[in-house]
Amino acid sequence: MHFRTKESMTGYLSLLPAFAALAAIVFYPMVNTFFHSFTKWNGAESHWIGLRNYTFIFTNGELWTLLRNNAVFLLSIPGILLLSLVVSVLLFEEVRGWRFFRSLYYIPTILSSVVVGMLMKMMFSQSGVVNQLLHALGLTDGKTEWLTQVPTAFMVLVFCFYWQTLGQGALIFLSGLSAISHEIFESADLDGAGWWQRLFHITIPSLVPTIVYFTVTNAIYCFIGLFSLVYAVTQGGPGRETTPIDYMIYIKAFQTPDQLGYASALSIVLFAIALLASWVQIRLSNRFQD
Amino acid sequence: MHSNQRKTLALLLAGSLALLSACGSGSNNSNGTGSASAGGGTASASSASAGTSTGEKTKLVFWNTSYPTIDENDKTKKKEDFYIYKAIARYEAANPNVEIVIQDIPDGTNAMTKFQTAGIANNGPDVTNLWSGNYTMDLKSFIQPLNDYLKPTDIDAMTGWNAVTENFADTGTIYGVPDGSDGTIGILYNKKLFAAAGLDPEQNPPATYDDFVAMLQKLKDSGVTPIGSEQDGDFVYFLDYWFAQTVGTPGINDIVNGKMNFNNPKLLQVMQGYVQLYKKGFVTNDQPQTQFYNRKVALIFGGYGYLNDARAALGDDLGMMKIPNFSSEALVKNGGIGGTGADFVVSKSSKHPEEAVKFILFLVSKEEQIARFKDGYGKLLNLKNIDPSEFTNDPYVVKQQEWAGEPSTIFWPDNIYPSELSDYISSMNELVVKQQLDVRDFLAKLDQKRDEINKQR
Repeated sequence: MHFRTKESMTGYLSLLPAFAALAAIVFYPMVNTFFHSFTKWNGAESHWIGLRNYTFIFTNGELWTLLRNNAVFLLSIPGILLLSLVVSVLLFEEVRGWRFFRSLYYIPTILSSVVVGMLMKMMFSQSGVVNQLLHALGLTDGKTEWLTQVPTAFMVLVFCFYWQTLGQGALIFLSGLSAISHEIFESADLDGAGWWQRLFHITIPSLVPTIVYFTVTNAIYCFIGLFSLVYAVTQGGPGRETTPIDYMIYIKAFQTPDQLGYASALSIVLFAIALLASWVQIRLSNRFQD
Repeated sequence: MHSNQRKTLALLLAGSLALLSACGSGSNNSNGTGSASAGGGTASASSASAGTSTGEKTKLVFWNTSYPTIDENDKTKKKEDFYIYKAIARYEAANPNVEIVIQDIPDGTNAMTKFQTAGIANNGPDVTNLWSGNYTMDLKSFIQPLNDYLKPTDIDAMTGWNAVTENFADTGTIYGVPDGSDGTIGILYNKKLFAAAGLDPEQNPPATYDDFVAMLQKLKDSGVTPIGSEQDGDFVYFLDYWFAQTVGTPGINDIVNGKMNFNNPKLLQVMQGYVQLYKKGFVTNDQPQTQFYNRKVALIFGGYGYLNDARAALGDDLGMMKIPNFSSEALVKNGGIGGTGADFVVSKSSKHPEEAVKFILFLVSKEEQIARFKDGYGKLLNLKNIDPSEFTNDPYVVKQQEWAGEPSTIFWPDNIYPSELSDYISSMNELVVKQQLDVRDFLAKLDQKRDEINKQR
């Protein structure tokens, strides 16, 4: 056998275990889910029903509520982006106490969403510490039902999302800031650029790729990663008003009999939406970078 | 190619094949003979060492969803001191060839989720406890029909078989064994708070909706919150009774089948009356039971399941009465919701269904039902011709046992609705009680959901 052929064969065969693992745990479930999205499936038996699951999804009116709920989280991303950016710049500038705050901000990131969720659920319950504090300060009557009113329930969820993401965001932006050459900052200093000028003309433009990465990953998270947080804090309520698509997939697949086919179809719809949202973001960011 | 390279490649290929075959064999291993894990929740009935012919014990995996195995007030209490462990010890002593492996799993909808996923993977338990009615029927693909394992004498001894029989019929495929009785949901109230408001429901029980509202107003005027209710507005315990008494059990069936709508004038009137209780400020949804036990709330809705805790908290100040009729035109009067809300099932994965049924029948035998009752278990007995004085002298328990046998006790409507619809109603009712959803829209949404479920079936 020719040396080059042997070498390329060795290369392909070396990749085989990784591809086999990917095929088994990613591609097979994807193809399986796609197939079952056209069936009525209870896990044991499935019957081909064509596009009926998709028809139900697009006509029963539920999808739009679910999308609205996902959109609320999606629209909250600029807020956490700004917050992470500010925190990372302050840490980068080594303001007083930066070592302490660096650890403090990262702690929520290492907690599981369920722990964060349970904590927030207790804090925001009617007899929880938040109401007690607000009542002690004379701001409310201390009886606010945070989790049973739609706007406040969303507020608590977004607060959890921010609290958990801030550490990771600050870390990502810190690494982005570290990659910027010190010489640029020094030259700007020599040219008499102030802090704000350095921020808007050097720091932020240099961080565009990091901002894009942060935005895209969090946008994907807002579609596929909210389940545990929502499950722990509101369980999708009141009603279905804070139920995102991934939580509905769980409800349909595991809390509703015979609906695994419907859940599969909903998963495919979610996949398409997440793909589209990421593609649009990347296209826009490419334009912005240009 | 060098020999080392060949060896490496061969190793990689073998590894890939092993990985693929491992991934592919998971769900087909129905004849698996792996050992049951006492700690995890994935042990399978099929993993029971079915070696009776070789002298080995038959191992039955029991997913415990209802028997207490932790005492919140006494964390030092040993497992062996709980009723179910004692019962299992008794059963194993009487059947030395059987070993029961008990695994605790969460109850309610979580139990159903776990049972369903285990059923799909064909590694369900031999025995578990589920909610009865359509909660069980919705999982029948994974449940062993039991007709062949039950004798007529077994069936004649107990009540509640309709709740575990297909289509709630008197005869047909039986998917479970009814597990005790929940009694009848009524009102548990604080006599002292009622007396302070000038009320004596024992002498003058509220008979109509107007009486009920007047009573609640007096309680509110006395400075106490009249009703403690769960976040979902106690749909299952309270509102469902007003629904069911208004249209009767056949009406509930008609609603389920789409022959009658939720959105009809009678149920709309019920909903409007129900929401008025919230609008008038009679209800708190914050920790209702705790507030009732702490004497901050005058009444809660509950049946036998709450009686022990309520008695422990309030002592002789505890009172119990039936939920007032919504209207004099109601088809069922002076009743309540209740009956056999749970059952024991044998999963299709079980390799020993006969042994499993034998164990279940032991758990629901008269001696064991009395023993678990005396241990403080939250269910009454579902045995025919039982005299409550045989096991209790608490007048409220006697009353609950009597109520449960009355024809005016309506079987849990949420067990009659498809389980998806029950879940949806509870979710949407949260919005109604917070006045974020109009009652007419609520009823229309229920009809839409019901139609969607029926269409998908």
